[in-house]
Amino acid sequence: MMTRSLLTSLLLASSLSAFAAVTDKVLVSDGYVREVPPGQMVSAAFMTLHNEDMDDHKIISASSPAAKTVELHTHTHENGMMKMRQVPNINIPAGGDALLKPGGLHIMLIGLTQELKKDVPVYVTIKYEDGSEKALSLPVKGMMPNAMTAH
Amino acid sequence: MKKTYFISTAAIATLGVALLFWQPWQSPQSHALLVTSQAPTGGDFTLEGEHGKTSLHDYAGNIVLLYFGYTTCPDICPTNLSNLSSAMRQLTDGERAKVQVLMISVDPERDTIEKLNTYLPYFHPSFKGLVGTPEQTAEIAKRYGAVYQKAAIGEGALGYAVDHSAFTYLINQQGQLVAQLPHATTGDEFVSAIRSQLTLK
Repeated sequence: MMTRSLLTSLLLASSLSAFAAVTDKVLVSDGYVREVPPGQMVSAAFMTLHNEDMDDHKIISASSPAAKTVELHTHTHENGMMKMRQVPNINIPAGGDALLKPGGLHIMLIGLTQELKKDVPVYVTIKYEDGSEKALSLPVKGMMPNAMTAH
Repeated sequence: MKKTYFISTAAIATLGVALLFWQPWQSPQSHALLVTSQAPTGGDFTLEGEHGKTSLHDYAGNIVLLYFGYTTCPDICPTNLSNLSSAMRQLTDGERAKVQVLMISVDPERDTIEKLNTYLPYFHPSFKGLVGTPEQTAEIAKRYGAVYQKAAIGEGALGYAVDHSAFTYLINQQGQLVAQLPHATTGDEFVSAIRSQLTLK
């Protein structure tokens, strides 16, 4: 009897937590896509993800109409070289942040299908481990620090 | 039971000692140019530039900031080049006239001089690209202590990427290598490094 009620409450608890999608628990801020030099066919999306939940969550994939392929990547510093590698997911720790920034974790846009212009937003959809998706409209940011402050 | 425990402890200890002496930069299976413990010597070189053969000594009298990168480099090169650009724009006209940023392509199979000269002016109109044969590139990189290797990326959507060391080499007005500045050196730091050389007489 005892076991059964415990089981019921466990089931209830898990179904309750499953009720809210990850998209409701992870806040995305400061997102942008980096402008590219002429002829460059790859760019990257950067952002800060804050997890308000008590469980870790993960981005498992991303997609965008602006690129043929979208992959999750990171940089590591090994043997004196900067190495860029695809990662299976990006973890956003419970109560913490995942920072996607130059030189670190990022969402790679490979084979750009549109010219990246400063006044035209880029749409990127990120998918979490529960299958829920968050559509983002990201501004294109120039690389030059002076140019960024000049407007 | 005890014996197994002993063996595994011994194995872990051995592994620990092995790791202590494991020097990945001496591993022969890597295609990377090996990082040597000796200080890089730098020195003159000649490669293909915008107007044909271009040598480091053509820039004698200038401070040269030399970078090894490639045009399809997704993140690392743009970060460094935009910091170098920011430094250029902080210098006075007089100082800027004595500074040259050069990028040697570590992807000579895909980068042409035309590609480099379309790519680099995005960062600053004065930046120049140089490209050579894979052998020439490797020889120069070795003298400067730069390392790089091709890396397959993801499902091959990118073709390949090039893992590379991301130092910027500071060469004085006499053509001597004086410093290597690490990845993500800021524009302000480049400016100080350039000015410290310009004030040396």
